[in-house]
Amino acid sequence: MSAELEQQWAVAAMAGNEDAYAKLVEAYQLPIFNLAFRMLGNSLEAEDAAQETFIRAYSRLHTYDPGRKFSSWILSIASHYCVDRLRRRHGTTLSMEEIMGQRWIPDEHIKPEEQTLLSEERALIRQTLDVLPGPYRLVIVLRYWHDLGYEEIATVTGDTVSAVKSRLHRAREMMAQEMRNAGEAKPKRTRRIAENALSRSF
Amino acid sequence: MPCQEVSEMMSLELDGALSDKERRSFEAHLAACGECQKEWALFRRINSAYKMVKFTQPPPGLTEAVMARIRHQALKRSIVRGSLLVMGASLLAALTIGLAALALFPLLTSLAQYPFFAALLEMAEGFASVGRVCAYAVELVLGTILQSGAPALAIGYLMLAVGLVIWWTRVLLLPQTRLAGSPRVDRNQG
Repeated sequence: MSAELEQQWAVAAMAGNEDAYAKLVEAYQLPIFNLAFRMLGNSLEAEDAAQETFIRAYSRLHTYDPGRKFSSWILSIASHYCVDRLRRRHGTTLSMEEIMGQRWIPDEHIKPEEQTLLSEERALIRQTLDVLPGPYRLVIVLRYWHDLGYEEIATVTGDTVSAVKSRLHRAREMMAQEMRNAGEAKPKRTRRIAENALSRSF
Repeated sequence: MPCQEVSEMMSLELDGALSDKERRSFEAHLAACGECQKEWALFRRINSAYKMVKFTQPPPGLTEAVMARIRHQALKRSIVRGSLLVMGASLLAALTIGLAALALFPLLTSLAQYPFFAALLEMAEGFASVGRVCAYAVELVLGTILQSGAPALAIGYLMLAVGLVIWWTRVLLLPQTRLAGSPRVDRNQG
């Protein structure tokens, strides 16, 4: 979809054209659903989050600047919603057991894209993504699934570019540590890194 | 160069964000540091796995579900707005007719000997009672501030009428007026 066409639809939707907004939903359902799916870990919650994102975006269309990329704007709404939902899911006092113990929720409704990957890669992704707290998982999802650069990620999350670099690094550090600790009874260092990261994030 | 700095450079290297000079220092450190080599191998392993990810297809009917919810919400809003409009219009009409009836009351009283005007007087009495209630309400609020009934009533009526007209205009022209809002992105969270 060209940026020009996307802009035309957005402007028409802002003027109250529901069909134009339906086209935007159709065009963005794939990236938005995938962001929610990777952030929340299961398709039912992801579908609900995707719907909520599009409804929120519709009610906030008057805040959209047609001079900016629509994709960044809507990804921003989805990102904030998912991080907030993760935060609410865990409560304000996030237990380390929940973070470290949480594992990928098997999904019967959707056959994940990992089918095309080697089972080893699939296992690695499942193992490492779930140990990340919301804001760290978000930058990894935006970097790899959405193939965004530092500046675009910063636009979506509302952080500075240096904060994005730092968050990406810490996320990778946590994932590397999780791999190192795989099989160990008490992944102390991962726990410490995650605790430090959380104290900065929440 | 300390290992922590090299660790940070690993992430930048994976994203292609290291300059040539930085890469040379990075590679030189790696060649001499076994711990960093192990860390780098893990970073690369993670990166290569994540590089292979692809989008998953969303469940069918997502767009339809979203649009149905949007239409449902719009319908609910229009019902609430419509009800408020009717209530506002009724209030203004009652106030206007009531005040007019109050003003005409003395004239109709003098003509009460004629049956037609007597009937009209009865009707006016009904409206006048509405007018009195409204007038008392306004006087109660503003009269104590202005220490005078008549100006308070006039000002109160004017404020109510102007307020309602502004509000109706906003309600009726909502999509257009909201467009004029300054563009911004919600960044309250995250």
